[in-house]
Amino acid sequence: MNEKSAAAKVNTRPAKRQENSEAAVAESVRDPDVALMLRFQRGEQQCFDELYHKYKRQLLAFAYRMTGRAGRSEELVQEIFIRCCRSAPTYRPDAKFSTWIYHIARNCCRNELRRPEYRHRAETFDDHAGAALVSTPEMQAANRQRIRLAQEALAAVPERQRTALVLSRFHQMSYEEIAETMDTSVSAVKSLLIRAKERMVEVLRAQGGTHDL
Amino acid sequence: MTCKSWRKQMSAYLDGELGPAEAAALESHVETCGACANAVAELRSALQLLDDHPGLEPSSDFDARFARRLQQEQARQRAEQALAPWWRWRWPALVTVAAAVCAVCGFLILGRDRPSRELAPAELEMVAKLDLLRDYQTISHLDGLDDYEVVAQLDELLEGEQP
Repeated sequence: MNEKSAAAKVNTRPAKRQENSEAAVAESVRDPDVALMLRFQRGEQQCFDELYHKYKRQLLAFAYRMTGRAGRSEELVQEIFIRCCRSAPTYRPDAKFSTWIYHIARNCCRNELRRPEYRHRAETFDDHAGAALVSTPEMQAANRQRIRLAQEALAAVPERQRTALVLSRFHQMSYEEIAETMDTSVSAVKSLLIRAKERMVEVLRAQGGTHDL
Repeated sequence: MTCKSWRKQMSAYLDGELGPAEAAALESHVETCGACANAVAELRSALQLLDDHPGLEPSSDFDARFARRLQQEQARQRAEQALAPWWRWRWPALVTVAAAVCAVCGFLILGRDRPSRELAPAELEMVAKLDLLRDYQTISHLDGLDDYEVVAQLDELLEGEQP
């Protein structure tokens, strides 16, 4: 999700999305990305290339927000697409393509986060903060400060909660889709998101208050 | 409904996951409850901050590296597919033959290289004097030696015959 649409999501009046898993299956039939994957399954290589170019940035952002490591995130995204390619012969369109590929992405990131270097080091982000294009040095400093705070707050959220939060905030997924991606129930997703947000608020309070941001 | 219950709804409210009636009820509660209004404001501001979290742009050689990796993967898959039918039907026979060949080779190699027994010092001495022994065998079979013991004990024999 880009910043504008994310902000709009916070400010606009909420409207409940009503989906269930049957609807998700039905929707998958109409999903153009599912159609591309099925064509790739039949041997049309250009369809895979299309999916790769469509998803690589989203998946890279997802991996980076999950792991905080820029270099490893690139490796992870390559691994995700390789797994996607390997699974093509047995691929069945049971869900939207995005749900399916994020399921793979989530598993890759979870495996990555189990590596010892993540266990023994404080979870932080590589200093890869895409310094937004702002004009004055003061604005740049303020922007960097916000990014640093956002990184610290996100890094403090445990893996499952962070997955739900990242999929919800940055990838426009409904609770149903998140539940499907994470192999869990919608009520579990609600609970994960409540705890993730509470954790973020705690961290931001400790950093000097959320209202000043 | 208690404030604790309303707060559990706030996350879904901010994510646009509450129905219109539930959202309206929450909004009217927040208008009259300062603590809940504060909680919503804190959550909203945390989420707005999170939206500033930067993504990541792929590095300049990202596509080239992936293309190479994909090529390798697809070559591997093709090789696997080409081998699959042949392998599927014949692998039990191949494994059996391979095991038999290994067993025979192992037996031959182990049998051939079995270490020889070390000779005892007495045996070594005997080997060193082999020529002498061979000579001894020759001497021992000389006809003239048949009477050797009679000659050696001649004195005793003669004493026995004297009255």
